[in-house]
Amino acid sequence: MAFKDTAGGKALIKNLWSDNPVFRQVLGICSTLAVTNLLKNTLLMCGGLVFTAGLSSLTISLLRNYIPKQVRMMVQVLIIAAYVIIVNIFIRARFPDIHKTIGPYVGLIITNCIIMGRAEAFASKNPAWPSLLDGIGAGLGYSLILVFIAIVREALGFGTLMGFALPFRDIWWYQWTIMVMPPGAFFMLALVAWFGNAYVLKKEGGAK
Amino acid sequence: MKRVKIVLFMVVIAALYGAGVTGLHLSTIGMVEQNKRFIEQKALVELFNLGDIQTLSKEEIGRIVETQIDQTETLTDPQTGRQVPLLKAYSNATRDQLVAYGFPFSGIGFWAEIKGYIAVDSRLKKTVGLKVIEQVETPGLGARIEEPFFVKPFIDGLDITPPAPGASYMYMGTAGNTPEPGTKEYGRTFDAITGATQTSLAMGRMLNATVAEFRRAVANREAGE
Repeated sequence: MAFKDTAGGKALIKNLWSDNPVFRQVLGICSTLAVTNLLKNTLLMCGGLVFTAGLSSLTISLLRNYIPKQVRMMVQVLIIAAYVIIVNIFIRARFPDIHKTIGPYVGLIITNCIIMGRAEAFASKNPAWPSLLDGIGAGLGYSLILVFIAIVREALGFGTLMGFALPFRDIWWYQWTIMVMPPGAFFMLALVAWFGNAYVLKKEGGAK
Repeated sequence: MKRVKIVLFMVVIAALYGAGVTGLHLSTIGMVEQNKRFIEQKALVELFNLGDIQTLSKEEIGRIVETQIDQTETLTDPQTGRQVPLLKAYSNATRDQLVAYGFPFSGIGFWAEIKGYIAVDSRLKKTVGLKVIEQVETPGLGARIEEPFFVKPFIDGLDITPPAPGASYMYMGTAGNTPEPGTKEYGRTFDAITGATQTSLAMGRMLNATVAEFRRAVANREAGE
């Protein structure tokens, strides 16, 4: 059986595009708006989310038969929080400058609806391997959109990518200050959601 | 019985994860402290313009702070009794030429506490630098207090000589409210950040209070001597 036909493969691929958490499910918007003015910060945030989403889905799936139904959400939050704290400690210790910028948002991964949503909708009902892939897929789907938004915002707002100046910047580049500020993120998110939804709906329509 | 099982489950899982996270936290405390110290050292070198932090190594930055900045003296504000740490920056390691004085400032910004240092020239007439080392203001708005455009007026030199009674040491300038060149307020004005009025106002408040406190403490020391 091809990977894309397995339960895990299907979950991963679906989360990347046709069920993308950001533009299809409109989840994780707070951090999408907050951290996308620099690609480096965005990549770290995305790494943290992929790590947390994957491992929390895996853990919740492994424990699903033992977690009492009455307290399942408390346990899910506890597991998610533990992984987020691990990410936070790691960034604080290894990347202190970046922690200064995205530190407050890393803590907010705990409340990111994508992780809780995948834990409740998928991991608590499915085996470990597909759950891990589902969590990673949700994280990667989120990352795909954030990275795209960050590339556009950093290039237009700062004239750089990963902090490096774009080629011949002095000749052609003019600063779009709005792209560095929160309204720039709103514009970009709206555009991505528009194009993404239009493309997915068109494809779904064509399939019918 | 079922309820006991649930409570037991919660206790066990919380203990397991709590222990794991605590262990990780404890194992990185040293590294975090080192990072914190390095951020502060970088800030001081930048504040007093003692070198280019982009090209200097971690060790060089540490050495400059150790040899060229005297952090041993503390002043006392006679009005509040508060201790004001006094930093003295020298142009070289022999400490024969004083470059500037520095002192910390802190206060509540729009979201949380802002901490940093302000540097003044050796004659105590104008500022020569400002460095924010801790803040969690809105990224892209209030957080811009760390950016060069906000810091530049402080490096260029804002007047910190005692103002007329009832007047402020510093003023926040906005697009429609900037003092005319030649007026006393003109040399004491820094630019507000568009879209971050509350952070700018908070900076104005805390810097005014800090400079006033520093002035009182210096006067107190001079009187004592």
